[in-house]
Amino acid sequence: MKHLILRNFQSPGDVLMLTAAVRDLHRAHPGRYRTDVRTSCPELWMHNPHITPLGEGDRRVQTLDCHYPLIHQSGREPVHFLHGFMEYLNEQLGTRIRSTAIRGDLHLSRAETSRPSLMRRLTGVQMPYWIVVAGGKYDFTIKWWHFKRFQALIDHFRGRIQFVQVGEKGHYHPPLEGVIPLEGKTRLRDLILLVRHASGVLCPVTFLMHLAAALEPPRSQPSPRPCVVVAGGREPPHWEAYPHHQFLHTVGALSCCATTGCWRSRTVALGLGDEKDQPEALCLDVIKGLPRCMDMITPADVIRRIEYYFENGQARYLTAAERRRAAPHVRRSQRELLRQHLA
Amino acid sequence: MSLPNKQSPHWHHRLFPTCDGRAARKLPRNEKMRSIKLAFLEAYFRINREVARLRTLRQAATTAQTKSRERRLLQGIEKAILAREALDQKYAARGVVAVATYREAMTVDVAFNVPRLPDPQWGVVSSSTSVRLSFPLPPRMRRP
Repeated sequence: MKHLILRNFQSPGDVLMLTAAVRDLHRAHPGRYRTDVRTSCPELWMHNPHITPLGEGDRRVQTLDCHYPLIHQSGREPVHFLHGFMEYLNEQLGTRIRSTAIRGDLHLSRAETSRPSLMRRLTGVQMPYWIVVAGGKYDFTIKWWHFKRFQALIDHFRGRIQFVQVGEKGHYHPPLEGVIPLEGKTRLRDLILLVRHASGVLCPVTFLMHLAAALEPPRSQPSPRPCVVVAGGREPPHWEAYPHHQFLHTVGALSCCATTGCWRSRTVALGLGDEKDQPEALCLDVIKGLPRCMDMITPADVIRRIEYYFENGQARYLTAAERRRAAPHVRRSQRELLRQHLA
Repeated sequence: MSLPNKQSPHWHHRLFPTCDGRAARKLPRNEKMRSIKLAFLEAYFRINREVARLRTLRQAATTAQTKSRERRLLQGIEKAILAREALDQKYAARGVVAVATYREAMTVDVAFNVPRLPDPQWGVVSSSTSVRLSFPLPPRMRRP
């Protein structure tokens, strides 16, 4: 039996893709490998049956830094992000890993699956809610949609869909109104459980879309979980999208992403002096602070895709009682606060 | 709205919000995005000032004149909010987030999130094998 330590210190989305590769390594070669990992997100590996504690000092152990060079072929070949690490392991180990599921591999403990959702603990009832991510890291600002557009669709669904805003502290997450604000308040494991109980997810191309795909909803909820991704033209859709997600992209509609994603980093330079501020990493077509590919996607487009899920029972709107339960936890606008205090 | 590059004429005012929990006048000159932060603080101050004026007016006796003044002040509040929203919009692409803390509808502090490079991750403790074990404590050791 071979002993492997797989290393990767990229973002949570990348590490989640590695979980799929480890799952499929064991499925392709049962009993041939003992695997452990060193990654930036240990929480993504908790309760994972494919992980065996191994020490780097052990002479039997091979340590492998994991990459996904397949991404460089994603403009020419029909490959998904999930294939990235599998292909790399196949090259490095001589294995024949094939993808067995279109999702990452997350495991929950019995205590976690039986724990009531955060929303239930907050409001006292189990109610449907959607998670919204309205920004992201500062390294790929080109992925951001404008917060005013997120706000427009949250206003559109006000009283019918309860959105919960999440996001990592220190990243760009403009506070939306009418949402339950949980930005910077969830650790990774809390976020996993929050997504598990969510009726839907609305986000740009980010970790949350991979998390939405990786987590089976509880049995009481429709499966698979709805997810609407505002993607634009940065990534080739076949590399990123999941079949049951609504993935709004513009590849093929603009010269800057005519045949594949542009893979650029930022909309405008942020003055950070890193390579992502260099001209070759910046968007070629900016309109009022938004990449044209993101500007082309309107709130009405996204609203319609969210409504798809409600038309045939994949999701349901709030009841009046649920709306009342959520109301005290919702972030109100400055106008609403003033109206109340000046009345 | 022009940026108060050097100083705001109002930052000694009691209604001027603090910046990330500190007095705005103590913002170091080399503070990152200082002028943008001051522009936001000034915008929130202007809303506060209009609200305070309205409250003062309402405490006075009501006359026909005060009704029309009240209307003007309400319009002033809306105008000040729109100016603040314009700042939110203007600096969105640059990744600036200003989150206000309100007390009785007045902004008392503005917390900023501005672009920064990610922290290097190589130093983190990253073993997947650091599994968290949980087990019940004996009853006498549990917190009430």
